[in-house]
Amino acid sequence: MQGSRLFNTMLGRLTLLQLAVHLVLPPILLYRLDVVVRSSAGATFTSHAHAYARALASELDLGNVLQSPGRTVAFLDAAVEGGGCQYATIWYDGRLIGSSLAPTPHNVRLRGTDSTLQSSGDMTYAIASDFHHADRDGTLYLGFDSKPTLTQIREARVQIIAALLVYALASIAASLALARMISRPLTDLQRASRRVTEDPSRQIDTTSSMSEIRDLTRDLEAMRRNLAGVAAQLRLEMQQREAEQAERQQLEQRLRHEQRLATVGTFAGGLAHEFNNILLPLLLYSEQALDDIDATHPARHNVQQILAAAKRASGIVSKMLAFSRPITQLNQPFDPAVAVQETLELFRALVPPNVTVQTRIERFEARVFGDSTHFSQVLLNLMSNAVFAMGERGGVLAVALAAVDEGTERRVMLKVTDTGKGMGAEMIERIFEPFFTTREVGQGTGLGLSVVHGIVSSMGATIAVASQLGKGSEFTIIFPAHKP
Amino acid sequence: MKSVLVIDDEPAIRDSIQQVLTRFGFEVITAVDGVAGFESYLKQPTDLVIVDIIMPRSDGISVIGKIRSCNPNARIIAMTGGGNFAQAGYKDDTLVTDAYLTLAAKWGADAVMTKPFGRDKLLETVRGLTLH
Repeated sequence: MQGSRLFNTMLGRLTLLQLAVHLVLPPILLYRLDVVVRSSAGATFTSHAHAYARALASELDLGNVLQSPGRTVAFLDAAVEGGGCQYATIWYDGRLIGSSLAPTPHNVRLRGTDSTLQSSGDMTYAIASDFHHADRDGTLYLGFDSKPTLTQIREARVQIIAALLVYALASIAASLALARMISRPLTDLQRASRRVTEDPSRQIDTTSSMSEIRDLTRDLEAMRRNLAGVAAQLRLEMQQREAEQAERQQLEQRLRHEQRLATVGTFAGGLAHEFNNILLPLLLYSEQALDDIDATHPARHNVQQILAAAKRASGIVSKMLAFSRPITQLNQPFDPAVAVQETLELFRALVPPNVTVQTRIERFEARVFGDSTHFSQVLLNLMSNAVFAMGERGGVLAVALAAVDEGTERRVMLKVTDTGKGMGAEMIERIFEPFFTTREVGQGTGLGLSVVHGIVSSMGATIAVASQLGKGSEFTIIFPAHKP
Repeated sequence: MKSVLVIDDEPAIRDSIQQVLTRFGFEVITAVDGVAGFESYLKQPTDLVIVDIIMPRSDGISVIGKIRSCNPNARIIAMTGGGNFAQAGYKDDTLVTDAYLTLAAKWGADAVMTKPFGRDKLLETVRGLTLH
């Protein structure tokens, strides 16, 4: 695993290649060079020896040195000294005569001429050279010391091996350095591109001076910029799409809500029509009956109750209609601040002692268009709901009126906040439906907020609710400011 | 004795209005819908017509139109229980009580009454239109 990983890196492969080359090439080179050195040094040595032997043999051919044994020995001594021989001996006239300076080996006549340099044994190169004098044949035996030449060859070989080793090491080092030189910028690039994966804004750069690496870096950087641009574009599109989706969901939800209210409104309208048709005869019959019944008759009281109940029912139905129909109103601009003040004065008598009313009413030029009594009805309704929500515990009822700007449009904001029991999301969803109520039977009709919704819509305003269970609720109504 | 034609599809409404007006000295004829009401009026024109707007068969508005066209001096009161008129088969569901009564007035009703109303309101309106 480790090996294959090493082999898969550029550094590893270059190193292996280098090793392979240097394991094969230097031994071959060494062998070849050795052969050349050996043969040339050996050839020089042997040719020199043979030439020397031939020159001595020619001297012997002349015969001067053979005239007396003393001259012969002196000649051989000179041959030993002049040629640096191990021995110099002749076989002539049936006798062996050797130099007095060097002993003649006992087997000199058997050895003859050596074919190669001896690298073992007595390290002597033997030559036997024939001569002819006075019709008699003789042989000159010379022994040359081959040690210096062999030493020279060995030294040359050592030098070659050393040179080859130095070359191999230098070459491996050089290729390693080269591999590192190439692989380092590549590794740097690799690291840089990994960093880009984590942070696409990181630039890809190189300190390498190699043009190939610089070109590659430039291309990668261009690619990164392109990708970063595309990614940013995609992110932006995704954000836009998410925002659109959220907006659409919100719109759909509002539409569903409005549709439900509209359906309920239509239903309430139809119901109101039916009820009114029932209530009319109830009222008329009761009134007629009261005429006919004696003042002391026990049924009189009952009929009076029927009439009262029918009148109460009429009141409820008319409220129901206020939700289901656009309210016909006295449409004119009015000062909302004045309307709020007047309504608060009316309401103060209804506030229980454990409820504190806080008001923050700004004075401004903007006017609201519509029927101020409807506006008051809305505020009264919200305040009475707030008081009800705070129950026996009491709390703070805050009413705020302010002019706000939505973009370039002026708006009037009415806010009613309480510290009551609050509402859950499910309840908020339904509070504007007619007949939806959290109150005990007989404490409310559940028409209050549906009427508020009807009035608010008819004034072109919007109503929003924020509520937290146990903390309280906040109703915010935004009216369009009247443009004279 | 002034005569009044009451056109309404609700028997209890016809009857209760008839009782009240009879007691207070009016002669009352009733009809169950617009078609019967107009036929009755042609046969025997009355001093006043009280007509419901939302009824099966011929509706109140067309009855007003027809009566007005054959007698420009007829006295007519339109009444309605309100609500959304799409329920009663009117395609235009933007027409609701007040708008409808306004329309009735435009088409020739002398007075409009929103149901339910009390006896006093009924007598006041009826007397107001039958004084001359």
